[in-house]
Amino acid sequence: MAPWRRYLSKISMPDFSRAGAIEGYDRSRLSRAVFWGAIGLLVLAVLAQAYVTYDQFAGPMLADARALGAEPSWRRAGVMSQWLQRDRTEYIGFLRAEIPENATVVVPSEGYGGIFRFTELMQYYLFPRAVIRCPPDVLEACLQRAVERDPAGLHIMVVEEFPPVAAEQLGLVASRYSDRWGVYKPIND
Amino acid sequence: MIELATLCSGCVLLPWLTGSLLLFAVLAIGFLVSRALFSAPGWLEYAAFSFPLGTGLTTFVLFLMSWAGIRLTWVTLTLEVVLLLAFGILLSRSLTIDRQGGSTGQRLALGGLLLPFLLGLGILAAYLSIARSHSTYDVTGGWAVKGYGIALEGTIFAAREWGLWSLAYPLNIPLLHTAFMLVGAESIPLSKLVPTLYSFSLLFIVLRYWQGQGLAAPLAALGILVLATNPLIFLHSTMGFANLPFSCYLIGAILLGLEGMKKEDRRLLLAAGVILGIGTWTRAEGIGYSLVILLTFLLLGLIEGGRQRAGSVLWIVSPVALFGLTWMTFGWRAVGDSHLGVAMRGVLPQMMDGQLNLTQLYLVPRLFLERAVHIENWGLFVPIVLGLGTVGIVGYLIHQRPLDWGPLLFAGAMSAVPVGLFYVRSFTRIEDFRELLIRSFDRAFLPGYYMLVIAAFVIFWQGWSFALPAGADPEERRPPGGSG
Repeated sequence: MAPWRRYLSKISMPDFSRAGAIEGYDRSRLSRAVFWGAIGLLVLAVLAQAYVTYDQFAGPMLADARALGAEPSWRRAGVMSQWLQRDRTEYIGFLRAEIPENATVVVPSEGYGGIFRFTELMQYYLFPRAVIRCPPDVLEACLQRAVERDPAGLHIMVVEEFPPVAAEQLGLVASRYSDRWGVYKPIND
Repeated sequence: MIELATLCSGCVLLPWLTGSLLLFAVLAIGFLVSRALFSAPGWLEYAAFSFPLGTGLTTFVLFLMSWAGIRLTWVTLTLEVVLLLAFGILLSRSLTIDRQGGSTGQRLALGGLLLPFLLGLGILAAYLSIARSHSTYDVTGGWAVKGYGIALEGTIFAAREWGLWSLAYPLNIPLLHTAFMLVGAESIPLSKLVPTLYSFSLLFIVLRYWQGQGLAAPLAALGILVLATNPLIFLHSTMGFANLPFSCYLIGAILLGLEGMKKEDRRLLLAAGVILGIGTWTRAEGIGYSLVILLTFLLLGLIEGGRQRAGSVLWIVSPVALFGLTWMTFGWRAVGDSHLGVAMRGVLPQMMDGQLNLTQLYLVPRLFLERAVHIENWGLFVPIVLGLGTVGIVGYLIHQRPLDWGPLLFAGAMSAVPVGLFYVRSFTRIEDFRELLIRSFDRAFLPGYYMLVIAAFVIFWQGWSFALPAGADPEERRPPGGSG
């Protein structure tokens, strides 16, 4: 027996011949037609789904993956995230370079900073740095206290209008990434 | 404590090596436990259950260790894995009763038919999953960073401060991230293989069930490809949400339980319980789902075999209680404070005041169906389930076959639970309920999707097939579910 026949013989197939002709119609023929009809339609369905999956998802993702190549995992996550994308990810790269790993980072408070105010997101992108957020109603006092507690390690993200206090007022120095984004860091950093 | 990554900072391959070792160890733990749980395991049992069992048990013991005050480091992780491997060897040696019958030629041929396609899809999904890293909000801010925080601080209590949801969610998935972080493999990040491996384990779980139901190989193979090529399923194989791993546990438990009840096989029922128990350790709503699944088994037992068969549900209950109660003892307060906990507490008073939110109840399935009919969302899920289901029922009627209630009941239950959960949330998410549905319902519906497809294929097959291997006893020619 040819190998492919031997292979096929191991696959279970419906035994329609056992259906017989009962109650005025040939159940065997009808069952066979229904079964193979369904198989044909399922093949088409799988092909259609595979095309859509590749065309809409896998293909574009493959293109992104090729473009990003061997970038660090946090950078790939940022660029492919709908929340950060390329420009915000580059800013995070700046923060990672500016802020030592054992430092504490203050992220924008509620009402400031757009996506950067989400502590959990910044915990991921700035890992392993400690990330804290001040309540907006006591913002200045909270920032002041944070600096006093950790004058050598505290960094504050600068995102547009945040923080509404000048760096000198907090005893820190500003380092700009762009006109919108930057970081306040200790003077001797 | 010396960081593993610092032992060889210039070694590019070290993260791959340590991560792969961890992965193989976890798979080996699952393999050994599968060997002990199943009476006649073959390659299909190992392919289906090694990964979900291995991961669930490894993280659960890590959780217990940390709760007991042991600091989580790569050394304690290595010790844990070695001890679990030793325990697995002992367990499989003492409980194994039969090594026959798992890998029949037909099973291998069925696998051979699918393997090239699944391998190709699996490699593509794994590559894309690693390439896109943790780029989805909940995955970044919830599952991944929580695991990283635990790895950094060496304790599960770090999950309170790191990431979303405090301690409201069980830590199965975060602790997997912890484990990969501890062995230094998160620069890749190798934890992104987790969703792909869960997804493909689930495909083998379904294949195993269909094979047990006697589905013709081409039909079963196409069914698996229908699941694997579904755009949403493929996307989730690369994303990292906990819904797909959770579905893997729920569907695995349901299908093992159905088989166990039919065969009155206590080992299968126990295995179903262990899998379902790990499900309660994977998502916050796991306890609720488990209760619904246990009640459905009870109902099915009463329909099919009376009180005695219904009593066999107890074999499933005990492991579920072990995992579920342990987790709830630890996380009860946080679960109560979670969005679902708050919503649950808020529902009754509002309903007593006459606010029934019936419009929102109607909105849940309506918005879902609006999306489900589009091929780029759910593939051809609706036409396939409706088509096969209807043609199958016609076959049942023509051939006057007894109905197999099991898959149908569970398809109904798994579809109804997410509708119920979102209905409950409609009482607290008043302003953005519609957005919440559009954003989150699809992934909550994954268990329902799997069960509906499984049931549709089984009904179609049982309605129209006369399939048994040549030479089988004609008395046994009825479909496995057809004997009542």
